[in-house]
Amino acid sequence: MNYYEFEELNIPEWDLLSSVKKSSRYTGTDWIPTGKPSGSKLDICLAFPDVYEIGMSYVGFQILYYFLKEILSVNVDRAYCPWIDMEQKMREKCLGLNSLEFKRSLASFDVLGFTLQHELTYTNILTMLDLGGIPIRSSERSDDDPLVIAGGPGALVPEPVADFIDVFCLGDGEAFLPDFVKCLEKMKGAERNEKLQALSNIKGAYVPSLYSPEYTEQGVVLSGGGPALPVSRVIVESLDDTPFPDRMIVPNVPVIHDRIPVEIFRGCTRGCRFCQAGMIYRPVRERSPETVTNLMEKLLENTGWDEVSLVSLASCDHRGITDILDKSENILKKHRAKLSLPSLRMDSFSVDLATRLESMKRGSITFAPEAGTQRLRNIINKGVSEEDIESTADSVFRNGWHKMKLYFMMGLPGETDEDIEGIARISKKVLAIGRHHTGKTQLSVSVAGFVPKAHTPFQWEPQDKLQVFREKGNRIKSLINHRRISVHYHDPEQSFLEGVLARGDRRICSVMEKAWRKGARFDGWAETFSLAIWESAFEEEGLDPGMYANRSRSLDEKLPWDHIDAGVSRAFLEREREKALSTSLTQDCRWNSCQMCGQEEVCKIIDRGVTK
Amino acid sequence: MTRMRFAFSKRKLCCFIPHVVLPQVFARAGIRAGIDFEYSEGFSPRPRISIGPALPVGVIGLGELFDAEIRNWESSMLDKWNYFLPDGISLVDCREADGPSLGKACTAASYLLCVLKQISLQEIMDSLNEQLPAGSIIAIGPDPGGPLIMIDLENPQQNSPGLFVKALVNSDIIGSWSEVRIIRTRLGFLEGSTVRTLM
Repeated sequence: MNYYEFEELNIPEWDLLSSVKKSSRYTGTDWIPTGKPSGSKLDICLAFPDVYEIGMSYVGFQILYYFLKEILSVNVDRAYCPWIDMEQKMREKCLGLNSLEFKRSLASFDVLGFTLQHELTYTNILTMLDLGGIPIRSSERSDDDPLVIAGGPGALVPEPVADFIDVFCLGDGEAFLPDFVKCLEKMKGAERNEKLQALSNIKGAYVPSLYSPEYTEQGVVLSGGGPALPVSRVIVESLDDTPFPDRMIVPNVPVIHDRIPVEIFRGCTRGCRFCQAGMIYRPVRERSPETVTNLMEKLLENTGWDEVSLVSLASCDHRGITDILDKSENILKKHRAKLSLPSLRMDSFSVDLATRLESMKRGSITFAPEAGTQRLRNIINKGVSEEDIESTADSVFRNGWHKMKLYFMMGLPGETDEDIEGIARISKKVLAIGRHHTGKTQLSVSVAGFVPKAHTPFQWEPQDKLQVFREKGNRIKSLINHRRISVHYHDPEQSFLEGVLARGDRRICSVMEKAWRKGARFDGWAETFSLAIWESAFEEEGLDPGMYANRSRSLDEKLPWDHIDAGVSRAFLEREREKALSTSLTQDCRWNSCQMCGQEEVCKIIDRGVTK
Repeated sequence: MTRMRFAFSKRKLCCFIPHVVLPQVFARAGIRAGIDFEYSEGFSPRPRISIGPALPVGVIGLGELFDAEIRNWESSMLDKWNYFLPDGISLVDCREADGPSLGKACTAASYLLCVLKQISLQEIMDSLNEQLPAGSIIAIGPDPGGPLIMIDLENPQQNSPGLFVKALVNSDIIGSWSEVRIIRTRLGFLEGSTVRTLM
């Protein structure tokens, strides 16, 4: 055997892969459906600022990858953030970050597109830019560097990362990208500034370098030479008319959600007042049961996956959910596949649906009552009553589940001691109902600190301080103290940083860069997170993080995201805030009258997104 | 239903795909290729695919084996299946399986070992002879094809090539996996003093 035949001996990353944890996340051995050869001169790399297993579970990249490659004929690739052990080895060996599929340096692409799914991934953006050989600050990039763009929910609160991103893309990628790609193809070879000027005129594009912020007594004021503000989010009006991949990238190594994701609708009108997703993805747009089941069948054939997940913000709310389940039965049987619903409402309808699904019957079943008393659930507009919780629990345990998970929040606006006690009371009640059916009942209770988010009715509210979160968490633990109930509460230090970044302004950028230079990485991961690093970065920048997280804002204050129109109107948010204060509920407009959230005109056109 | 036996190679970056997920890799690629597998019974039915002795991540395999129960097998399917596998894993041969399961049938394996530093092959062989379990080495010697050592080992189910690395680390010849390259050239059984393939 000729030794020199072994090309493996010359793979530069082999040594690294032999010496890091979970090396399979870097191999790029996914199954990639071959598309038609691209006619475009544009190269775009989709970048996910977290590890591969998380990024590969994200349906958005499946949609965008397919859309760019098949619909817009662009050369597209993907990149993920290396874990800290790999980053260290790469720096030791002076190796840069490459895309996964074609192993190209990130700096060699025309466009690097990040998704901003969660605030605590933001420092990973800096890691990826730096390892990719791209200056981390927009102002330091030259004509040869890629354009760094960012979309996703975080793009609607862009200022905390505005110094690092050239163009924010607001809204649905399928609505934004066609004009964006056309513009860049036309501008190929032009100077960076010319490109940015041209792109700023595209609907849904926000180019932060064209504006500068001023920090006044009244709040943040932006001014500059760009198009008039605010910039509005762009949306697709019909999901049935919007391409969804019928072939997907299939991982060959373990990922978090290892199944076919079929998006069944976008948006949610339940109106939970704490929920950013429920505000910023309006209006509701449903995919018809026919389209959903057709996609399901094609994807089962084309991917080889044996499980389908119906993805949305609240899948049981699809008007045709029963129809979808009925229609998919034969398809699933033919392919020996299972179906799962990732988000269940607390009512017997949802439990009945889950009972029909084999895949849901293993393990535990999860619900989110969110708050411990009716009064507080009314404040947050979570339309769940005590009876709903009890009958759901009864139905769950009667149908054979032994394990149930409940999610709650602490620190919600208007919370009193009674609400904290209520979490313990409900948990014990649910356990008692379970034990009525089976002695094996196990309950898991998760409590997270509430993080007020921009573009929600609670965007003006203060977040609880760290010490308060700790006291409340401990109190819930000691109140529950039962061997059949396990209580977890989310690290309040992470919730605090999330709270700071979620309503930050552009001054956060320098803090973030400093924290990153001091070693902040993977802030969303408990094993790597360090609040101390961030605190020292804030101190050096002379900023108080509590000013962002723990301060009550007045309605007159100019907020750092006021120049972004996410679709819900300011008047609606204020009205909802008023109603929260008076504990009154707002009905879901899908089944009741219009609540005038700011989407009335669009809703008229798309008939409230409801499947006919 | 036919029980088929396949020989495959695991090369390039696919060497870093963990052994435990290989049944899934073959199953998903097979389904994309239109293969109708026989499924296991029980709560989570899976295609009946059983892979031979485990190959640690980072080891190159040239003649790895697995058995699969297939309802619609035709010889033309081999190419199609290959098309849907990741670049680095290829099916190189197949035949109808007979006799005992792979776990029982694989009793010997051949390896090539390359240590990526200036050191005499004799020193490496001494270390292995000294430290590998008694009787596990069938044959050991320099390979004519390059600065490599050829080793035939008994009982691949139990004797993983990880033993080479452990021995060399113990002897202070290397510090870690990244300083060696290991190739499993053949899986099979012992006939006289030669390792024969099961294909």
